[in-house]
Amino acid sequence: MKVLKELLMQKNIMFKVGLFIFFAWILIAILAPVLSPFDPINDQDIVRKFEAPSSEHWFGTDELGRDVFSRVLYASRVSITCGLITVLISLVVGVFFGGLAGYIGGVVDDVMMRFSEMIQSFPPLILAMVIAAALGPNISNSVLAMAIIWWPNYARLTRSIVISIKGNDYVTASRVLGATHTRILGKELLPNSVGSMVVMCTLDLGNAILMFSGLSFLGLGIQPPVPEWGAMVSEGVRNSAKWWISTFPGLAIFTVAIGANFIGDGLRDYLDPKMRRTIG
Amino acid sequence: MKRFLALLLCVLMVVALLAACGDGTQGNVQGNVQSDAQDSGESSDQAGSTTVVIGGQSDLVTLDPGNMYEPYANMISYAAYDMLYRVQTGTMGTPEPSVATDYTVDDSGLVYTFKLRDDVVFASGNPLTAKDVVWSVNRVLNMKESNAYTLIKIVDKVEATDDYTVVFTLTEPDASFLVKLTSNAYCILDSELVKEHGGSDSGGDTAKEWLDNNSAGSGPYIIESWTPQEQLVLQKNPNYWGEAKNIDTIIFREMTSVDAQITALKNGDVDIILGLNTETAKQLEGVDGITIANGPTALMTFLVMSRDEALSPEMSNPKVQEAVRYALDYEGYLALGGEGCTVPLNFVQQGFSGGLTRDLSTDGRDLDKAKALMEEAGYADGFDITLTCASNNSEGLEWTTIAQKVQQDLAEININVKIETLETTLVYEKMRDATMPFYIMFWSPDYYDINNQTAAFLPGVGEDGTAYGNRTKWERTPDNEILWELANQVQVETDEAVRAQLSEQLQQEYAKDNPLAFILQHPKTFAFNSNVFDNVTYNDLCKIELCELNVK
Amino acid sequence: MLSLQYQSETFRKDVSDLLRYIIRRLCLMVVLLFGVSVLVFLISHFVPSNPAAANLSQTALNDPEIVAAYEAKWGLDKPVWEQYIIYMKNILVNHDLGTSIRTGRPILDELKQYFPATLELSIFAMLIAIVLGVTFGVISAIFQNKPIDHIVRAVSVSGVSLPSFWFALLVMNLFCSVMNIFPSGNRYDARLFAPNGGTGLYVIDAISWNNWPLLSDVLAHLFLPALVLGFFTMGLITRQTRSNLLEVMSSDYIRTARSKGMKESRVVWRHALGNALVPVITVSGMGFCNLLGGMVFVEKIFSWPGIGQYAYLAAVNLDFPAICGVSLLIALTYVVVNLFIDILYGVIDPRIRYQ
Repeated sequence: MKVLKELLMQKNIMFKVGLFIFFAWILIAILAPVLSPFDPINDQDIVRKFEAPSSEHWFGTDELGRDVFSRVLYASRVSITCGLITVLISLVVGVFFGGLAGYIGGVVDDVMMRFSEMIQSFPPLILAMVIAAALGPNISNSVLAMAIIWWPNYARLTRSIVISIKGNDYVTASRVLGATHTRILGKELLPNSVGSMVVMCTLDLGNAILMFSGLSFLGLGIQPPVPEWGAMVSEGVRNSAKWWISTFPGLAIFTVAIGANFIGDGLRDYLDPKMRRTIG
Repeated sequence: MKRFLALLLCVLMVVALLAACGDGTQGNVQGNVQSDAQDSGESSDQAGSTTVVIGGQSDLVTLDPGNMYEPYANMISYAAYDMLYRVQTGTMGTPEPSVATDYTVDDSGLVYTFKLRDDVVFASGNPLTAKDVVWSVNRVLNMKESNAYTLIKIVDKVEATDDYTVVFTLTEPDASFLVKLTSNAYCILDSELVKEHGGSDSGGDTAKEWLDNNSAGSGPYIIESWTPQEQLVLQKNPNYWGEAKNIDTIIFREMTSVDAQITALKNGDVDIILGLNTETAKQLEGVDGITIANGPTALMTFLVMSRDEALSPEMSNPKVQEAVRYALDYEGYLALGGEGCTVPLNFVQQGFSGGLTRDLSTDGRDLDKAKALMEEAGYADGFDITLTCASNNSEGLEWTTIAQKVQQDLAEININVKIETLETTLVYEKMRDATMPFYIMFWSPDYYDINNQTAAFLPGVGEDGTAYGNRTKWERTPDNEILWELANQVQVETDEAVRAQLSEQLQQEYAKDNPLAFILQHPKTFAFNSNVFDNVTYNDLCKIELCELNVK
Repeated sequence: MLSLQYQSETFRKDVSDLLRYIIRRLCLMVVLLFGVSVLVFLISHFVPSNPAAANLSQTALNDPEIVAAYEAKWGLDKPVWEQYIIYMKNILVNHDLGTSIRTGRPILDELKQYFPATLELSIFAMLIAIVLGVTFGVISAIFQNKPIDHIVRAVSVSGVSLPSFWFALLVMNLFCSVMNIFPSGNRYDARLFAPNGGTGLYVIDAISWNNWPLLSDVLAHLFLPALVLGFFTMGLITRQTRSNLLEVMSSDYIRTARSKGMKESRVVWRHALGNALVPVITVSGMGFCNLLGGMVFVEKIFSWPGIGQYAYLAAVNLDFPAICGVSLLIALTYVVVNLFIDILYGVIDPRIRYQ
């Protein structure tokens, strides 16, 4: 709480804007059923397809005559959830893997890090495309594909932190005093890594949402009739004269991503000097 | 010192990278510089040289007529090659003589004898004789892994009795043989030239690589160059034996986005664009100097409902399948498909012998009837079913859009549809294994004769089964034997009027019970620059008829 | 600074250090590429699908004879490990990446055709990204916490937050349809020339052929896709430049320089920037690899015949050999670029030692 207060006290406008945008979207996601004037899936009316924005349909209607506004609101649920899950899985896998590699060290560390490098050298979108195309495009497969791509970043970060802790004088001292390795790690790792991890997570959340919508744009992510921003933009590409179909979902992706990035940037600016001091 | 070393290394790496890029073509660079300089010199000299640019997304993967089957394949094969018979302009597959002047068929219906023109020459200058025809057919007959093989396997043997007479012996009588002759499988290749580049009529052919970048035909154009996903250049054939048109170069340019195509047409960068659908064409309405045109296609989209009870006891019920046909909002699909769409009654499209459309005033959506049928079947309260939908489209209409409409339509009769979208490839695989209870599919004929439809859509399971008989486990029974009786008559009937009548009768019988629900037959929308052309003709086999193009 | 004085002892040590470093990296590279090949081979083969279904017509699929002939031709009837051994043998012995199932053409030829298009686009995108990114970063750092800093940072964060497929669409509609000042796609005007021979990098080709109309045409076609593509990396570079510059500016030696009464602009350009740019190189390297991966959207919208589209078509058609080929190529680019960056790093910052 104290940290949050300190954060908000800073003169960083962008951080506050980001926070505002992001929480606005989370609220929208939670309250989508209340806020949406229409049902995003079932209120089809072919006769009224491709209507331009009006007082009834704020963002116009799509090729099946559905309300674009309601669909944009509902789509936030899928995108934000999937972004969060992806980051969470990458975080858990990465921390475990990187922690282990850094802790054991030696040949094991070498092999494990080469493995993660291998994953990293893999073209992320191609990997995701192959996984989605092969296993069938759906929510869980695209989350899986993205998590596979992202965890090495966390592994590397955790590893470097673990190694720096291992070399720390204080740790050497406490080991001499008989503290067990696991205890040292548990006690030291968390406070040392939480800052940089949070920064990485928020920035990655924006990236994950972008990539996720990209996969859906290619038809490899979430499948209709579930509304999803990327898929909606691709519908707009097919009907480009109907600018409202692609413009609003595109703006939605953009704002969520920019919110996450603003927060990440702000946090980093705030944490950076401290991190340098502790990690060395 | 270390800095110097490292810098040197970096420079070396850059040089190596560039060298690697240029590798393989480096030997040609010099030659190309010259030829390029010549080209540009020529084009500035002859300001009158006419170039036409066509923009679209072709997905062409090969230009070897023996390997092609992609939708745009015959657009190119017709420009560069000749067949014995070709499709008459603007028709849905009506054959007319081309290299052949006429033919005779013996009483058994197995032996076709073709007389050839004696004035046809290949672009290379070699005369086209019967031995080239025989060689070309034998070449494809020995390429069993090719899609073109499906159309040519009806041929048992082919012989040249003299320089200008070819005799085909078929494995069984086939009223559609002439129509099959119009496809790329029967393109006549310059056998001498292709042999030089690895061609073989007895298996082990390796000419594909050469044929991908060159042509060895007698058509009005020759293939100058092809860069896949980029562009294809056709050059006027100086030795063309027929009446040449006034175009020197035709460039087909790959443009993946419809927006880019529309903009390019408006700006005059391209003269014809192919990637439109009814909705996107609206952007060009009323634009000065641009004509939007429609061509009929044989492409139809339909729902497939398996008869396999193991997949879904509910959906496999013929009564439920009938109910689905009555529950579909055909007017809605017509609105989705746009102008030029029709609803076929069933498996015979418009443009084929006796093709019928669904009469929406009497036979359209009827929810009461559909509900009654559901009750009869014992599912008045409905059931859950998965509709599999490939990420594909029919002439620009996305299947996912259709699926969502189906979902809503069927909700009216309490069928709760869950949509599952898969990559097209996976759907094809599952279709072949017949493991989906309910899915969207499209179909376009391999050759333009109703025999193609009967061979695909009639009941029949197993080795001798039909494509959709196997895919839906729709058995031949005494009840539907009438379908086969009629189809067998259609297959060999040569009098077109009688054939059309038989075909109509067949469709009426088919409508009584089948495992499919036909939704739409689609039109092809394209647009061209009317300052350049008076008219651009279209047929479903060749798409744009390049041979007929003539600039103002 | 290291002494510039020539010392044979140091020189020999440097050479052996550098060589050992490079050999080590090259060995790792081979291991890495081998791993990538195994991985992609496994992924693409443990798929419940059959390329025959993707590449044969509906009628042909119902014909067991054709399907069997097709599977035999592409070796699809053999077990996976056997297919892998055949594949690796072909690469190592015959320098043959196999034949694409979708197009039937040799994959090496296809990569040779598509890669230069992508390379050219990414190089220009990187140029745009570096020039804009460094400029913005410097402006932002100099005017720290002033309004202009906020604006520039907002723009740079927008760069990393814009969905490129949507941004490409906007840019195309604006510049091509509405304003009509740039071509709407492809690499050159179809009427200008037919691409054969040369390096495939048309800018270089045009210059070497002294074909100036072609050069301006190619550059005009390059501009919009490169801008869209470079925007993301631009954001990363701005961010990095700004924070590095701020860090360097607060360091002791800059403070010393200032206290000596040096002009602020001179401090920034002569002393701070050089040091601040070192980490920017790393970011640029990462950005370059990102570009290659994220190519597909821009290529699709601007009809750019590059690796991204090729990869997309390969993935959705389950064209295993092509997927493997593209992945190996991109992985190779990744490691080469990283090696390049690491060595370059040493050039600029002599404090780094190769280990």
